[in-house]
Amino acid sequence: MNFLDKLNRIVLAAERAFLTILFSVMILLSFFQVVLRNFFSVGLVWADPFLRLSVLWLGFIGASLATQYDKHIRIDLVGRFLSARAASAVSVLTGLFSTVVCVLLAEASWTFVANEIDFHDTIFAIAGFDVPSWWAQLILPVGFGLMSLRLFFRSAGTAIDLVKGGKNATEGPGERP
Amino acid sequence: MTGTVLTGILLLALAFLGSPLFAVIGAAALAAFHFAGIDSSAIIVELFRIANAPTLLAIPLFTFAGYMLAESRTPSRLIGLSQALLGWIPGGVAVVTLVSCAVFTAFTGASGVTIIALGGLLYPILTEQRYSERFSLGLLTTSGSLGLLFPPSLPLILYGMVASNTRMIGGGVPDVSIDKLFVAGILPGILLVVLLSAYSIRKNAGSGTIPFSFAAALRALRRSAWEVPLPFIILFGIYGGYFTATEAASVTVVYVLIVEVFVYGDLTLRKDIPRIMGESLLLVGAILIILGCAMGLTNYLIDEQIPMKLFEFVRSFVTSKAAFLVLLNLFLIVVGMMMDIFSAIIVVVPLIIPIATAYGIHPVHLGIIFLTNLEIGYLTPPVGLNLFISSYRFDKSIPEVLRSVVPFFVLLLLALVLVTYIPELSTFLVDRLGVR
Repeated sequence: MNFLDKLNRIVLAAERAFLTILFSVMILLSFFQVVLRNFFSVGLVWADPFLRLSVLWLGFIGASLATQYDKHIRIDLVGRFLSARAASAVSVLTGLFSTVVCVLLAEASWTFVANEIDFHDTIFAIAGFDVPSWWAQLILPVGFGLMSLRLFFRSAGTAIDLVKGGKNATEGPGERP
Repeated sequence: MTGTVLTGILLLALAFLGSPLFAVIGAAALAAFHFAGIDSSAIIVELFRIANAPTLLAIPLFTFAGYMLAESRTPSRLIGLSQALLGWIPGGVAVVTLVSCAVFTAFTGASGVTIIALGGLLYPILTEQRYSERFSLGLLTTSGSLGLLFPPSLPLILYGMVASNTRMIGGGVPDVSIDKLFVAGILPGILLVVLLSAYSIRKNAGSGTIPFSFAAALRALRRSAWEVPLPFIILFGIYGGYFTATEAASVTVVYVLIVEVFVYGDLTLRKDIPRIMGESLLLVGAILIILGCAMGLTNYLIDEQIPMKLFEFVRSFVTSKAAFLVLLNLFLIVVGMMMDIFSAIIVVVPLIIPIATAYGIHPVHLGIIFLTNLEIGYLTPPVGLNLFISSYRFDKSIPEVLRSVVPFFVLLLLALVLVTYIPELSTFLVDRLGVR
């Protein structure tokens, strides 16, 4: 698991850096648009679609991080009434279920992107360069893929700890964000 | 048919066992499309459509602004100001609590952060002024979600986005927009604060007060001089026609960033800001992934005319609008007991809008009814978020917290009845100001 752990840390650092940069660009760009529109009555044509698609990227990477830190929205009910061991066992079950769903959605996303590559659609143009739609859509399979990997390794780790009866079995997915 | 029912039961069980809701909803969409013989990539086509929503950008921007405010010393300045202005009223510290929490929650979107950020500061003040422990606990627990009817709260934005993506029976688009919702929530929101304040004043007439001093008020005002204009910038910006709700979000982020980093120096640009960005985007990601997965499912339900069938079913035993509203509120209270506000909006609104509008309920009024119910849901077991945050923050047992919120809960129910049966509370300002 050591190698995977290291890999996960690298991906995590890359995700966080990417989020910070993308979100900063978005804040500046959207503010710039407001200024342009209000004071000069002009605007960048590509800025609005770019910003909306960027929210999708923010959302998917944010969701991938939420998977890492176990921050997804859930009905937090059963855990309160179970022993620590039973709660871990249930979390393995729900984790594996979520893994399967993410794999299927990643596959569906990939089919979607592959279709779009064949269509040669463009989504907006920056400085005369037409951005192909599938560039923007690539985050969907990547996001679901990252989530399924994280869910799988977390559930597998919890399952191994449970079987070993290790004292760490009840601990969360590592440090907080 | 049995396959559908079995899948439904299995998914509900997995949801109650604590599976992430986006996975449950995604699985429901996968199953529905599979049974209908449609390729699963159609779910993704629908999911990708959320990138068309013009107000999508407002979600990460307002969330980030709210998190910055929560991490700065804004809570303490806000309390200082309301104390200086309202502390002289008998029972005034309770009013201070209600007002400052409501304002703060409007900006932080009722994600539970109010009790953490303000509760710790207000609890000692309440105790010092001889408010009973039980009253203080109930007050703070209730205040944790008070104000989610005020702009620019995240639940209002999300309701607006989800609602404008639904279709009424017959195919029309419901007459709802974020600009309208921002105005619609103001009077009902004030009603909640006034009702709770009146009770608090009555209950604590003998408690300590903070004498009013003009100098102190001026000092507090000067201290928060940069934060006080914020709600007005947003409201006048939008309704003065200077910018859209999304643009207002952008202006808010830049304004808050400059004020907290460069004017007050509460947050550092290199350390705090990237960390707060990351934290706020966790919540944004968690909400958007549910929204995305629900797009496919919603589309399937509309194609199968499920809202229409539900409406015909309901109509067979509920004929009047008034009776339907009773049923609606009971249903929403149960939803609020089980689900958090964001998932509830995403999952339930597409089903409710066609039915409620068929009974002649205005979709903006419906939104305010919906959010008031879900606000009550923060206080109801088994999953009421405020109960648990409060129990954790003030180190009290859940039964203790539950007992403390009972009078407030009853008052909120009363307010819900008023909001439900006086639609003008929600629509008067919208009509009067001619908001589109």
